[in-house]
Amino acid sequence: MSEPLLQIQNLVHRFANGVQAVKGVNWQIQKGEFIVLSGSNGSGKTVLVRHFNGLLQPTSGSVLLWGKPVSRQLLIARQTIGLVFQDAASQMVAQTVYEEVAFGPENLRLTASEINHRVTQALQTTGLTGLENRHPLELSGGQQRRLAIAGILAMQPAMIVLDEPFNGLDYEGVVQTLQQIVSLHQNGHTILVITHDLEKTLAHATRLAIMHQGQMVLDGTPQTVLPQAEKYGVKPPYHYHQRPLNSITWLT
Amino acid sequence: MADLVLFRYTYRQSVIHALDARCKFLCMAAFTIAVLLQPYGGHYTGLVAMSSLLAGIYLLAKQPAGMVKKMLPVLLVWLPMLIVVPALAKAGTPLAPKGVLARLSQEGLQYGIGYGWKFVLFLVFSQLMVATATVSEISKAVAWYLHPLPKPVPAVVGVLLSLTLAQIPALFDAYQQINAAQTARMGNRVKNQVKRMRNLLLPLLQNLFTRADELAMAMEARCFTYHRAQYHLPITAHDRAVTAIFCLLCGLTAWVGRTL
Repeated sequence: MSEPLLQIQNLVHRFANGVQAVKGVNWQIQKGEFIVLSGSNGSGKTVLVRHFNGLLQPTSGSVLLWGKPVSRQLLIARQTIGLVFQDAASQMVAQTVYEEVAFGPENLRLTASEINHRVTQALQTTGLTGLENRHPLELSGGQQRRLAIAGILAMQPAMIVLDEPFNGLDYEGVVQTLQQIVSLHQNGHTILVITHDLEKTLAHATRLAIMHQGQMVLDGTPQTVLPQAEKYGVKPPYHYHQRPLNSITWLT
Repeated sequence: MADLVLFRYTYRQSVIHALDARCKFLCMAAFTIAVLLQPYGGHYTGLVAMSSLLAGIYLLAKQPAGMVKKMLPVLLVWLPMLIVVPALAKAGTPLAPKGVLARLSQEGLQYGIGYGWKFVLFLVFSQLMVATATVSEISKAVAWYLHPLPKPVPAVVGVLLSLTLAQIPALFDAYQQINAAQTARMGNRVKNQVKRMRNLLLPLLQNLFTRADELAMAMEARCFTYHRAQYHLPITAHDRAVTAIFCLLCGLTAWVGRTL
């Protein structure tokens, strides 16, 4: 087996107030996987993924990216692991769609033509071409979510982590965002989706993992994990055992 | 579609939007000097000329009419105060022989009207400035003007300015939401104004800090650094021409105000 993209070794994260959010997680992510990470509120999912690109530093344990500790290659980690936050609006730093997408490449101090090329490509990929001069907050919820993804795509990451990407979206917004995620996976990106709502995405997942009280309690193929999901507070899709797995999606 | 929010960039295809932000700063300087040169007491010809100039710019910038309506609450709070305080403070001929009006002087009132008028002109101009230039354009222009200073200063000032300006509309939004949520629970019936203010300010501050925290995290995730790539488009002949015409018109209105 090739070297994993990410390797999490005995990761512990304790906040200043003593709360232990992540308790000794060991995990591996291979390139090209589509992982759905689920678990009840406060189970430590968001805290865990924020270690992937060094936004949080572990209390103990380590996170290795391509075999090297993330803490020793922060800039590379932040380019390689793109993190789309739960509330898309909170990560908007600019006043036009174009500038919002250009924010990352500008931080990388790329040339003007390279920035323009990456922004144009990211907007094309996410279907936001033509909205360059619009204010990000004027876009619909689904478009805002895709803009957040475009901002990450412009950094050309190998893996994209989406934290509750369907939160607060209507049916159309969910479908737009899900189409985007599936298409990114088909284009070779490694995808990690944090969600409570397995019904929307599970058909596309190659792996399902469940966290509970700071620990990774289940990890495997959706078929093997689903029957035990409910005892950790994760609601399985309706009649999942009577339906083929590839029907558990909101994409028709 | 989001509501119109004051001090938020509003894209339109207009000659004002196309103007380079560095030129807009020059125009702002010319406008400010012209407004400050206008006399205060009783002579409003110059202010009428400046208002006409500003109205023309507003139309050229194709700004939504609803924005003026949005400014009204701000004006209704500040304008009476700006007009009445000088009328009370400045000595002169009383407005009426007796009663409350006797406490106000005609000279003070004229001064206050001029002062309030200038305040409105500044407010509308500032609104036009941020509605027609993106925060990034403004902060890059500021950094450009600060270029002679030591290296980190323009970068830090530019970033701080861009973040502050970018968050103002979000704060307006948050304030409106908090206010609406409290009004829905009869919060507007609280008679003690200090308590009412505290009820509004505490959640607003909490919102502000949470938002700042999330924003910092999101910026860090996208490799934020003060030494970001900053590219300017060259100032074109069109930019120079528009700036020159505007500065000339400002000079003309100042002359009108001081001589007619």
